[in-house]
Amino acid sequence: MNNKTLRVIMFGGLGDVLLTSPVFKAIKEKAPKKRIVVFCINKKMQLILKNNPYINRITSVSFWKNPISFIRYYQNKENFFTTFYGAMQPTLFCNKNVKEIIADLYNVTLTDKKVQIYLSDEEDRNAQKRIAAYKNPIVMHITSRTTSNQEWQIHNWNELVASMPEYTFLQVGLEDEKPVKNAVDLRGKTSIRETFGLIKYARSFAGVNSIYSHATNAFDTPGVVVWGPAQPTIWGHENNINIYKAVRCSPCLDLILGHPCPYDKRCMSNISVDEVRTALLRQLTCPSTSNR
Amino acid sequence: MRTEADIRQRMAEIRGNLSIIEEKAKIEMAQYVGDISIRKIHFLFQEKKVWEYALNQLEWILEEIPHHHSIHQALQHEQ
Repeated sequence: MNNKTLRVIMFGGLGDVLLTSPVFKAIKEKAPKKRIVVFCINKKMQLILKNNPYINRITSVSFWKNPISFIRYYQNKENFFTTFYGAMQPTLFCNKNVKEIIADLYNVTLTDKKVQIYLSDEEDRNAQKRIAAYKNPIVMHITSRTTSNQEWQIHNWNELVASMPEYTFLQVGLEDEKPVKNAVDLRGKTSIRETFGLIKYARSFAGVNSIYSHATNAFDTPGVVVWGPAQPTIWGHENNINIYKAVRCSPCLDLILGHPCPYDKRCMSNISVDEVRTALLRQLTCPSTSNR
Repeated sequence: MRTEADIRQRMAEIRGNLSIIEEKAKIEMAQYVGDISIRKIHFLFQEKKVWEYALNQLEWILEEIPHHHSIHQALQHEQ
């Protein structure tokens, strides 16, 4: 932390980028003159961090974009922060929120624990305009790119949407994700940042542990997130109602990762549609949501 | 059939094992991230889960025993 410039190589998934975002604010508060340069391994990571006022430069790890940094990295001539919290296998023995785990790695304390997303005025206006077209909009993201073991069965989502006809469920995500019946299909039709905008102005959120459940934290969007292979104490956010019914074999995320669950995801199937609906209705009727 | 005292003694042994595992995990996790052995923490976690589950099962058995008797004693009493 004594160097004038902190060079970070961003590892992990897109959600991990969001979870790292509070740390940049904390570093700038601790050392305002420190220059923060973030090297991203893909374009989506750069989009997530776009407009973040606590980062001086967001760039790519590509040799063609940053030949000098690239060479310096491989020649060990410059210090790059490359530590990724995933190496700690946090589901096993960590018992604090991942944002704090990451802050510990950077040796800072978080004064603001919220995920940081900075939409431009234009993005903000477009999101408001888009969301205004729907009655009682709830953004929904049902897919986990980390492992399908984190997914709640599709028939549950279908039943949930059918049971709440007075609300409009906007399904976001990628085009290849399973469609939910009677939800407005926005799969593959909104960019990551457009989806952030929808989450900001939606009345609520429903989904699984994914980039978008983390995005709710940036805007205090009250949502409901269903958990199984990973525990919400680590990856959950206080703005959401986190439904987690630990079974004997849970958490298993760091153990079997993408391999199929031998018990047919009983940690997820233990969660009933009624529980999720009740939690959603509680979020939708709480004072902070009724103003949205 | 085991008596309640036998079961409680076994539970104390298991708690001892569990505390050894938790202590080892604490030491391992206190290291710099790059030095944490993934194999070791996977093993420790597996052990932790085994002992926790065993404790849970023994607690369940004790719940079934009425008035601090062993199951055997309880059955004899009924006869």
